[in-house]
Amino acid sequence: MRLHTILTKRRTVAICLASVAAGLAALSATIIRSSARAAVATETPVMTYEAPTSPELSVSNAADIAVSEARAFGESGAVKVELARGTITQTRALMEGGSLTAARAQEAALASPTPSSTFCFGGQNANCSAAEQRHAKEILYAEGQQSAYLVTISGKSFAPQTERLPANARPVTGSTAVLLLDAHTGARRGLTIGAGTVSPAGMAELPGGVSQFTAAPQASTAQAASRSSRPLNSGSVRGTFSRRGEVVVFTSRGVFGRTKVRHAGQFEIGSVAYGAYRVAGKVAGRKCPAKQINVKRGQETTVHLRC
Amino acid sequence: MKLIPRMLALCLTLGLVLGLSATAQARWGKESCSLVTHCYGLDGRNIESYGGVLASIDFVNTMSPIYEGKSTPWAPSGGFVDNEQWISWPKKSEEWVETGQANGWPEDCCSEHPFFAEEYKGKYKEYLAYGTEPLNEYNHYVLFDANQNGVFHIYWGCCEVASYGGWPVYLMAQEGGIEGAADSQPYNWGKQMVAASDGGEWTPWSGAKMFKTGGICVAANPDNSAAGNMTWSTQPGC
Repeated sequence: MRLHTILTKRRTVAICLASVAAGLAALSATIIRSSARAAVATETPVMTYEAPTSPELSVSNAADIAVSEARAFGESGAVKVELARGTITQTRALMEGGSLTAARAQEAALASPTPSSTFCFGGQNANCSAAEQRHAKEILYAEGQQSAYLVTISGKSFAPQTERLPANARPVTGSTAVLLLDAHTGARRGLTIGAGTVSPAGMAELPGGVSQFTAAPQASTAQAASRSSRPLNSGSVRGTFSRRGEVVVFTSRGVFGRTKVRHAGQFEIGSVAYGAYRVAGKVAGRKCPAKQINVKRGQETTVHLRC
Repeated sequence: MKLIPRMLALCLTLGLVLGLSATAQARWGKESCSLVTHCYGLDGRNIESYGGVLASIDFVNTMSPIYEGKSTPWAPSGGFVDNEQWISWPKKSEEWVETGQANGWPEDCCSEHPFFAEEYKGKYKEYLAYGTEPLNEYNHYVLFDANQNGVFHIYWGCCEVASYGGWPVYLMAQEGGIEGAADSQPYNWGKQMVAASDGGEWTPWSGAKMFKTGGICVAANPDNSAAGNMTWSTQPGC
């Protein structure tokens, strides 16, 4: 009996070891083969899109923002600005060197129930349902219909510091840059700069045609710094909070920004894109009652918060 | 045997997030990370010797863009943080295609906007979407020469959003991770899972090596430690 028990225990241990070894081998193989497969279950749509509700910028406001961009790109001399208004799809096509015909074809493809052969990445780990494709097309079409300004700025030298670069790459500079500005917020959605960049030929075909402005050279370095630190599509927020803590500014989509409350309960946020926000104080992680504010271009908005 | 490195990776990550958070002052400036000098935490590989691949796949998860009041500066000074992938050709210096998600200027500190960009023959192009991607989820970005004609189709989630042409058919280098460009220290904690494909089976980034500059901490991804999968943080002390 004792010998039998010992043999049984040995067999059990051996089976256990073999099972664990096999399990580990399988786990290892699975990890190696399916490096990204685990994430398939969390596949997300193209993006979440909600149309902006703020009013559109005028042509002259957009031109002012373009000049601010030129100053932020380090150009202190005279800047020639040409701009025209269209949809994101139209202006993006022209900015990237395409045509309005190509933009219309893209719009038609997004409006069509028949997807192109490359529309879904697909493959064994990313199956793409018809519903997903339909939903993606709706989102891309909707964002593509949003208004934008296509802007060409010409000067001596633009050196943007906000290019998205791989490690060790040098930023691209040039004397002409094409910008795509969101017509609602003034945010720069697109940029083309560098060798062969010219004002898009199809710009004149956009509804409303092309408007031209010329900004005079900047008077001094101080003026340049001041101009580039607050674009004309922004205002500022200042106020008081009755407690020590921080103040959080919320957009309809999440947190816009936050700042610590200084001495005497005062706070200030220097540049906030114009529009509607909720502002709330926060103490030790606890959110206090929020207040609605409306930030206007070039103006200071005051708010007093309590908790 | 696989558990030990995963536990180590988990400990490293916890160390990044918890231990270093106690450090009072950022080293961001001392490490020369700024708006002009971008800082990186990457995993990447050169696959010229394999003949390249047709598709580069990156699942990007930005877990938190804000912590104890620190976040990417949203002021017009122009700070931004990208979580993304690049494809390139080592024989074509200064040329690449990239896609991923970004926060900071010209949007706000804490929402992630998908983007794509390229530099080709000395010309740089970029587009940043108004729409957003969720935090704390693996968002899917793919660059794929679907028709084997040198046109790389760009996919966000399920579907194609753009394409860039004129490239060689097979991509020869892949990099993925974080790019930080800001004058004051941003906060970003994220992770990625990556793969390569020729349109069918997905394979890991075998041979990928981690690379980091100052200001960024990197470690293996505790969710899945296959080659190329990593996590990063811009905690003070990195």
